[in-house]
Amino acid sequence: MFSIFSETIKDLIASSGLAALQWQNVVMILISFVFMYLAIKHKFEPLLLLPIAFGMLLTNLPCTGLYHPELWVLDEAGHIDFGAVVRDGGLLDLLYIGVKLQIYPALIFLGIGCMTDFAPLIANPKSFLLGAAAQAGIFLTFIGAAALGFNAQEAGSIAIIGGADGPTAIYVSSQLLNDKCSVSTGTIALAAYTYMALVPLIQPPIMRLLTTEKERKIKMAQLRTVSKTEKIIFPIAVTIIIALLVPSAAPLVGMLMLGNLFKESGVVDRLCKTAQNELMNIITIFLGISVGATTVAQNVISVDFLKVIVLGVIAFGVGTASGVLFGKIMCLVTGGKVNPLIGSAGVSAVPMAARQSQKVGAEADPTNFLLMHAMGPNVAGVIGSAVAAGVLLSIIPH
Amino acid sequence: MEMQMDWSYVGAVVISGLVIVFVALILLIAAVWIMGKIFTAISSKNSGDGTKKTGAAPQLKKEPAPVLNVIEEDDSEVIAVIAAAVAAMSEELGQPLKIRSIRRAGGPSRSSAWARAAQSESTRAF
Repeated sequence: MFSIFSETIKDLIASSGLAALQWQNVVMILISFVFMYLAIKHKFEPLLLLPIAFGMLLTNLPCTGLYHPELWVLDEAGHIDFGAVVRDGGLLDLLYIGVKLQIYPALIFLGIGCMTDFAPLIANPKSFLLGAAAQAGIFLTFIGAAALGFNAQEAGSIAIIGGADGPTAIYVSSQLLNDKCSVSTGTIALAAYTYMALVPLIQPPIMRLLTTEKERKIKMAQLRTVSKTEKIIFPIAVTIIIALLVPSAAPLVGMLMLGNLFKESGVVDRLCKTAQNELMNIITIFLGISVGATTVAQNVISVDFLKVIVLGVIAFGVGTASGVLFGKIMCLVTGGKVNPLIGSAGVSAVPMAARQSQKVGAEADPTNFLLMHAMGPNVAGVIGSAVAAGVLLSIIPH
Repeated sequence: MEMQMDWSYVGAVVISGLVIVFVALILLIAAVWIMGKIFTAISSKNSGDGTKKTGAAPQLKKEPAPVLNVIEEDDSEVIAVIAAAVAAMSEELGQPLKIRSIRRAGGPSRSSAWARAAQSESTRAF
């Protein structure tokens, strides 16, 4: 009887997760604790960082069968066998289908569109230039990633972190990265959301370094009132222009503008409320936990992970600097009518980046209110990063 | 699918990427600018018609009183909020606090505290 009991215990231990636990898994579990701590204690983008960190924990607990990296390996024709994923996949494999098929980021953009007011951008369309200039961070980081030996797909995924837009980063990296790449979508998402939460620490020193006290004190003229008809035409016009010019950006820009049309038309309040609340919350959970699941130990614990972290912060910094420098050019051209600080808001990260413009401007002159002026480049940055994402997807083979 | 890069390819990605992003957003500037001009012209035409019909515009210019009223109203609103905050703090500390003076830090063009609170609320993180 005792021998049967001991055999049973031995079998139980051999088939348990403890027997299969490797040191790499332990390290990843500890890293997930760090991100959970940052999300809960310091409120670092908790809506996404918390489910991502928990997905990271689940995927690194052995034998759970929640996520199978081997199911996402490309076949000889370069395709994923979605039939096998549905047949043999775990819960997180099934949820990850929504990321791979570009569904979740686009639906998140629908909700963002419902919450975004484009009036400051319509009132001052020159803000689009600042939104474009800040995207330089993406393309210049591409050079850095190439110099560090990453291939085109990895470099494009790392570079998009500079767009400071989480859903866009996930959208691009989930398309470009495959099983042969040394970085995962989860790594890119973690870096993107961590740096977005660190915008108040990363941006102000660069903004102060690149501007003079006199420039920071520049007060901008009040924006004109934008009519309701203009607000309704804007999303339709943007969709047509962007979809014709960069078709691969259409899923993101189209959904963003559809959400905005819901909001501005005022006739589909129910849809608007659902898109920005229930739908967006559900998608955020699915997106976060399934993207977190891609951070399996073998994909993350490497020197390349450290390179992604360093390149990510460089991408943010270069994007901020390009926006501010272009703001200085606009200040010069307009004879001092544009405060260069609003240029840094062009990196997307709505509305944290615009708040930094307001904060640094108010430090120089407490009566200077740049928030609404910075919201223009800020929302232009969302469109700009979606266009940049479309460009990367159309240029880089995947 | 994996693709190693040479520097001419990297240069092509960077230059074409930046050019396409700028061209797309410049086209949007043009579209929004034209739309703005059309709607500004329409609204100014409409307001011009309105003054012709009423013919009462000169009389309105001679009465600056409503503007003064607005400023007084704003000030009393701000003073009430500050007084309430100081009273609450006084109760909390158990010490009587006195407001000796309230001075506006900026010029008259500043938006009200309520407008700023609304701006902050409508642009909070989502």
